[in-house]
Amino acid sequence: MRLCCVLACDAAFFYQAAASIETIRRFPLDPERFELDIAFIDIGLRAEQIAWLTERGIRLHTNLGELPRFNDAPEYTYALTCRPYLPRLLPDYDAYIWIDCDIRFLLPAGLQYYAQQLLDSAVSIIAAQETEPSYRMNADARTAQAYHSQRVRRIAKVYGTEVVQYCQYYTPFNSGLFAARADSPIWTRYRRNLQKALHVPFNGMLQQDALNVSMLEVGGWVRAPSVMNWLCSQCLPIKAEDATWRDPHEPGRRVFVAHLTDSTAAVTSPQGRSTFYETYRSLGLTG
Amino acid sequence: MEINQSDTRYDYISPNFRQIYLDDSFPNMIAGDPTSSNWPHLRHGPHKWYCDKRAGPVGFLNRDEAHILYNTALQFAGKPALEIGCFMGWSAGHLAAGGIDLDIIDPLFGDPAVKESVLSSLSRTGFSGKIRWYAGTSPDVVDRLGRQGSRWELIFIDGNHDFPAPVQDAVVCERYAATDALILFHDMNAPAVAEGLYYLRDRGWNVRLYHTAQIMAAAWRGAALPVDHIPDPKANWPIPEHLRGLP
Repeated sequence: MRLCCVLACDAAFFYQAAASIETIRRFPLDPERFELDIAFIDIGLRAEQIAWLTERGIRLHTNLGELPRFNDAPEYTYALTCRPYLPRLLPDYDAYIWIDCDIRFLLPAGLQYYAQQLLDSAVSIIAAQETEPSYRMNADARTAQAYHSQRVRRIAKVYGTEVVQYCQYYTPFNSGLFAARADSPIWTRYRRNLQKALHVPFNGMLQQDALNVSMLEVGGWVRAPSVMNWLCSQCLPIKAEDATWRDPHEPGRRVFVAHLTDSTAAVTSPQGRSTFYETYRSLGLTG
Repeated sequence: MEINQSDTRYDYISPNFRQIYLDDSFPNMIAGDPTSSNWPHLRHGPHKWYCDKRAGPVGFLNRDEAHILYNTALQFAGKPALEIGCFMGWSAGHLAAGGIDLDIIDPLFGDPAVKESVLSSLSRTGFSGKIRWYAGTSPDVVDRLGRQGSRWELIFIDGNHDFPAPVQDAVVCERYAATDALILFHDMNAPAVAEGLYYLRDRGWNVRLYHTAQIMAAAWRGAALPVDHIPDPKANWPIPEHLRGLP
């Protein structure tokens, strides 16, 4: 299977992308079954950043003009709108794995999990549903109320009352890491639903809403466990004696893929104020 | 529910169509009053609106729409076909009259009274010889039949009209449609139903609308071709916003 991992960002976020790519390259897939490329959608990278990618054989896509853009949204949001277009931007692959730049593969089984599921032609998409207590937006009542009421308002505005009535009590999938075959029906619906969202005031979650509406329409998904897309700003994993990362609520569960969300957000600890990213670095979750 | 005698609604059939009248096989069908339905996507136009006097205000295909089915089916005589959503059998009767080999899926077949009524009506039409019935819902039953090897050249989707069912129907039908295939939709006036057509269009199928009371549509690929249709020139059907731009 010809498989393409795709990332995208601007120059300012490139430090995240580089660290993410290193974790992809650290754990090669079985070459008997997978021919893996990494591709990067360049949203205004600097020359030395492009050189870094080129040295590593990473395929660059630079033509942003063929992509839609949210109303009044900054240029970096091409990293949101490019996702449904991967089979068009990068043809000739059998399947794609979208990887947010703040994703880190912690163990070989992380990337392998997504690749393995792609071998089943009946699967439309593989993604993690935000269902477990590690997703604090569901585990904490006040956070859940804010998170889901905003989601319901967004979906009502873009897709109408019928759609929102259907899915208002439904827990969405996270769109920061997902895999789908090139022939999956998900892509056409994802494009169409994203198009509907382009004309409302920009919100960073509109793209994830579009993916979730599309998943409900298309069905056939594989629900990845949260340890395959662990939102670290929601719940920091803990490091075990064997140097693997673990679910703090169930220390027997290894975390295979860390999602270093909200990196620039401030956090306060007994040591003082810092950002999540500094916390992630100090813990050793990223280089 | 039944209309009063002063009602001015009339039957219309596209003048290029071969005609058939199955009314005698559906003794409980009446020309009803569409205002008795509270479905927001029902259009009230000049054409007669039919329903089953026992079943409440759920409409049948009107005369013109039933003839789109019949004349399409004639082009597929002897070929495997699928209907999702049969209700009281009116649409199935018109499909079967075209001589197709028909699988029908409807959860209402789980109700013995409905099933008996449908079987009785279709038996009266004399076209029930090549029909198979499946009590259940799409996409599950379609997927099961498809996995068992069924491939359909003609498909009529008139099942659950609410999000996300129409796209789910379109996805599963595309998966098991023959290489040369045509898919018909009823009730395109409902935005959620139209999304099923958009799915097929975005996957490379040819599409067209039929300007009837509830608006029908065809999607086709390969050597399959839709029938032509001449809308009633006296009916001034507006094109709903969600269908603008479709041929």
